[in-house]
Amino acid sequence: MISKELVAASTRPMLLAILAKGESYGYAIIEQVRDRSGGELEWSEGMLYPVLHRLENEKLILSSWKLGENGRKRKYYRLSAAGTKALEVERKQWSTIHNTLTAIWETKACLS
Amino acid sequence: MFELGNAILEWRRTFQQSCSLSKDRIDELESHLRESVSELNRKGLSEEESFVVAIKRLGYARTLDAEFQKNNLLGVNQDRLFWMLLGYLGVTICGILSTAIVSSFSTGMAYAGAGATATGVVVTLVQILFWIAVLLLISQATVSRVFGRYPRLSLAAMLISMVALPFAKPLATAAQSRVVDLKWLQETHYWTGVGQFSIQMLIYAFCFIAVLKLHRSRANLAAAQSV
Repeated sequence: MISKELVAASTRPMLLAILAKGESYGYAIIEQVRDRSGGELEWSEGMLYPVLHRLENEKLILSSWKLGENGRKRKYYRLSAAGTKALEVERKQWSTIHNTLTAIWETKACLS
Repeated sequence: MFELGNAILEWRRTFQQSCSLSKDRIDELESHLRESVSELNRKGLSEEESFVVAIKRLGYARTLDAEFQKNNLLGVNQDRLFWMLLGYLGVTICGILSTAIVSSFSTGMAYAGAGATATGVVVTLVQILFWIAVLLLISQATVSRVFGRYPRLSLAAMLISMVALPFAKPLATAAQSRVVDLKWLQETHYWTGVGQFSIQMLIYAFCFIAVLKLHRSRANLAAAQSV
């Protein structure tokens, strides 16, 4: 079980990364996260939608109502140009954290 | 007999008290809800069971509202400030309106030849009715709904009334001094003064109770956030 804080912190880069692959809507995003994490990450609606709306307010993503394949109205989100830039920044930051942790863990393994 | 459309309408109704979610956002949540229901339905649950499970996952207005606000603390504060200022403006405008009502009503009654004491009492009664109407409007949240639906129109109306209404009183007083003799006016003023003072006291009491209630709902929100 991943801590609440970590899940919250990773929501933004994950959303940007998912939408960079193509437009999507709330329900599908939750499913995508579940699949990609092998069921480890279970996003709640109450967490997802506020973040989506905040990203939209920051103009990082754009939204539009469209008819889905089942004929139902869905609100689709896609990345904006500013969103692509923001994703690049996030990617750098998360890589730094990831590389640092990996380096530390590997050193520790060598010492023991 | 369970009917999904009705159940969803019922669920949407729980959002009407909490105004922080716009119609577009509730539409989006409804679309999500329908998506979950049909997915669960496909997995073999009945429509009613699917709805119960989906709604349990998604949550009702109160919990969702708390979640949405948690992610937007700055927005919440701005929202509060907005309502505070709006409330102040609203009460100021109503105050000016009520003064205008007092002046025009007593002038009218003097012109019609009514007694000073009777005029004072009647004008106070009219004022009480006016404030009851204002409180009713507020309590039914009509103000926020109208404002949310026609924001520009409401702002324009507010600006016009703020500029135009202050002229109402001097104009009414000028008209009054031409029509009415001074002694009659003094006697009426005593009675309208008493009426206005008591109404003012009632408004203070109302504000005090409202502040207490707001404080309680904010405490509720904080409790919902810490879960």
